[in-house]
Amino acid sequence: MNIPMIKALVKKDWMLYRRYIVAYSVLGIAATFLMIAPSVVAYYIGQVLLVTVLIGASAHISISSVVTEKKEDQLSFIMGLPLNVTDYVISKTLGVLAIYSVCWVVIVATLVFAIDISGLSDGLLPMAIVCSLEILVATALLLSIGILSGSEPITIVSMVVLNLFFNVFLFSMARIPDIGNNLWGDVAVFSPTVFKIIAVEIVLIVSITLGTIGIKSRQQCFM
Amino acid sequence: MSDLAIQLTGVNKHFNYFDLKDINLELPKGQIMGFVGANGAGKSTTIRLIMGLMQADSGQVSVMGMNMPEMQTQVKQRVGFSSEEMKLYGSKNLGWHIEFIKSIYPHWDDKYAKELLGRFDLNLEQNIKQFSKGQHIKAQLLLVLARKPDLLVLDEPTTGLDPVARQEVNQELALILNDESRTVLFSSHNTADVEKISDQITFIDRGAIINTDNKESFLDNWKRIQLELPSTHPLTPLGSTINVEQDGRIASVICNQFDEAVIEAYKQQNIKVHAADNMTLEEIFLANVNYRRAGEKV
Repeated sequence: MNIPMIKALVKKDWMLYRRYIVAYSVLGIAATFLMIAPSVVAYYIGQVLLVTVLIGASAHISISSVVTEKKEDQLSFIMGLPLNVTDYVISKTLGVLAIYSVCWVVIVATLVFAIDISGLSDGLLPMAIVCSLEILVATALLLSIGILSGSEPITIVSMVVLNLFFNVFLFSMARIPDIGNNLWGDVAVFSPTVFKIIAVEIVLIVSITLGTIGIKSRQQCFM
Repeated sequence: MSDLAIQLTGVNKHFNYFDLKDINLELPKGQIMGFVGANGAGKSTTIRLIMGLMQADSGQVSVMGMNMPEMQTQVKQRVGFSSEEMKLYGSKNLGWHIEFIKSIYPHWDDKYAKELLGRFDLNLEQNIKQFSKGQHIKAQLLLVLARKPDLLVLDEPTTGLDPVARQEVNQELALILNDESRTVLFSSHNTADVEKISDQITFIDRGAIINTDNKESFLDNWKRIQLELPSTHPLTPLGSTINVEQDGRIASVICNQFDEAVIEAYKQQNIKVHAADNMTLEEIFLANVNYRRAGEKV
């Protein structure tokens, strides 16, 4: 494993996407403040915008850094550098996930802070965290699909499916009594069920990432 | 320590509609090899195998004495690779790319990079997407040359360039000749470019290497002999003739191992020899390809 090369690739991707990350972070913060404005309409607009920003950033960064890079032959330029497939995949899984996580952390931290200090019920916190983590799982999965398939159509279709699944996930979580019954309460209830869901989500992110590295590392050549 | 920069031994690679067959290729250190073939002949596939980007089905690929693709990370540290299909990041400028490459290659030569920047007339601040194709290729070459590689592998570096840009790129490649420790493999279907700067020339056609030799040998050994026969009877070719074209009493013979003795032999048969012309590399390449395609062995 060529760690200096992996660092150089991650830094390169950070330089390519940092202004988008800043823009998404600003949009996410703006959406969060809309949610805590004293208006139901503003709350719902803010909520939709927040989810849109998190999912949009995820899709943009994942597709652009992996599939578009390949499609536009910039990968050919990278392949000529002193690295192997494993180095490249590590930079794209861990690196791009870390880059996306910058805006994810900023937005989710702002959301948690906003729920805590605003008139919004603290009971929303577990739901907010669980759903935000689901988007992080989807990001890891989308990156994995992009890396393993290398196909733009497959990755875009996967993105659509993952977006649809997010809605299913949202409603499913709301139907879990430990989460749904406490949504509008004054206290954030982090029940064992909530912790289990969070744990499963974290395990999924780690498994998807390591699995992708493991599968791709068996490939000795880029082509 | 091997004196060969590149060595391919019995390399085969199968695709659905194309096969690279029994490729044997040697490039000694300090030499410039032109790798000539028509589009789809197998040049890029061979180069991908050399760079460790693709794995051969059988045979051995060794670069700078190291096996590929196993040692690709170490090899690519010493090899500058540029290909026609490579694209830089359009939203970033050349300065950004230089900083990126500089962070990877410790031998990056800033002075040489500045020199090339001026010679290629490139602007550091201009975004890559605003570059013409010629500027894009020159920017790629700058990024490859200023890292001071021991081996340069260039896949179709002059394809799609206008004559001025092509001349500039060729001049830069010719300058590299001055550095005798540098080895270059470059592929092209433009035989004029290859003829100008190569020491060694290898022809590839339909996935097989059909001839390899040094440039002087190619140009010295291959001749077109213009003959006037005493009658219209078909000419009986002498020596290493690979092609005969006859129109009545006038015949044109191509031979690939020219020897003055052949001229004397024709004269003794009462055949007038009007000329023994040198052939251009393009003519030699075409004669090679046509001969092989006709099912005979040169």
